[in-house]
Amino acid sequence: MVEQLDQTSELLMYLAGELSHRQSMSLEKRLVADSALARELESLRGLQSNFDAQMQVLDEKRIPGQAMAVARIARAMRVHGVNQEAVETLAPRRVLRMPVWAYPIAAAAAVVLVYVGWWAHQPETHVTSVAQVSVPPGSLSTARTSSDQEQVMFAELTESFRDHNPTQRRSLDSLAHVESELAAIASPMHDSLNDPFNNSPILDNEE
Amino acid sequence: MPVSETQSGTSAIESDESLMRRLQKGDTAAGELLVERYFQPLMRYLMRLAGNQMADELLQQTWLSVLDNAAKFDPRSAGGGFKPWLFRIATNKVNDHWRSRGRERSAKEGLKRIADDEMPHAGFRLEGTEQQLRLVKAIEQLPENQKQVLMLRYYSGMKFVEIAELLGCPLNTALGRVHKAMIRLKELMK
Repeated sequence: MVEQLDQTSELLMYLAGELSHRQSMSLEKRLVADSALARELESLRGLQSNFDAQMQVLDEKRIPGQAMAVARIARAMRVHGVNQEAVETLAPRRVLRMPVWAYPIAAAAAVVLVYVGWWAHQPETHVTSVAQVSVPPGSLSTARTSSDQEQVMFAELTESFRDHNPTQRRSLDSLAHVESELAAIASPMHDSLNDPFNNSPILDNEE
Repeated sequence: MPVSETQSGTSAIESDESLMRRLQKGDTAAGELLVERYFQPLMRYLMRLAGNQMADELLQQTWLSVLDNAAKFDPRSAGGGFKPWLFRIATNKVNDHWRSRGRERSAKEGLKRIADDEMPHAGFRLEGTEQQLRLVKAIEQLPENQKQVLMLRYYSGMKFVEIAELLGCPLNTALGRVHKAMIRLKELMK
């Protein structure tokens, strides 16, 4: 016994026959030597037998109506059992199709996928990378694009065509050549329009 | 009383554990036999703790709880078999009842119960002697914790160690309550 019993508790346990053999032997030795302890034991024994006698008197007659009460409880148990079975039949236990750990992982993966999808549809706002792309000289980018982004795309396409397709490369070169010639012709016209007092070569030719 | 044939050919009372095994398999007739077997001690225990009127209800609740928990019953781990297990469930029902009612209402019920005991409709009580009635009232006057330990010990036959474990108190405390309760009863019965 782990708990240290006080004297009265030990005597009650002894009377109830719930002490171990070793504890009983020890107590009996003390009872022989200690008359006060023996008197207390007798007092407790008298108290216990008085209580038992009173309770026996109280319970000497059987509680009436046992048969009816038992039948009522038995009926309630049968109904309860049937109801329980019905509940279990109607609502079978849910069985998880996948291991429990798979659900949080799947949820995290779904969040990541949604984020990636959202990120992919965001408009590109950084222009600094455009400045770093080298646009080959003589390309059509300056004449055909209107924004930095389009220029970069056009330059990249041009580069890829030059590298991979000789026919297209030649076409692009000839286009670039035409473009530069047009630019050369347009340049004096532009200057003359800006400077009305300067003689235009076109006007000279007309003369 | 239910009987089963033993190997020697003589008849013997079927054990509680055997009946519980049958109940676990869904044999409600075995449950009925158990109800019948323990009706008197269990009903008396509940009557002493909760009064005549509530005892009926608590008795039914106890047995329905037995039915619900039948699958969990294991005689090897039930600390002494079916009877302590049954009284454990009944004690929990009484505690639930006390908790749900609250102190004030319990006091009112107690007064009403004492008044009811003196009324003619309590046929069972009417047949009791004056000494019996005095004892019933004396028991009702005990503090709940003392009354519970004393009645549990008397009607269930559980060991003091098991009672202390069930009530969640030290062994010395449980034994002290029993001692005080018996002294108080003796005083009240003088």
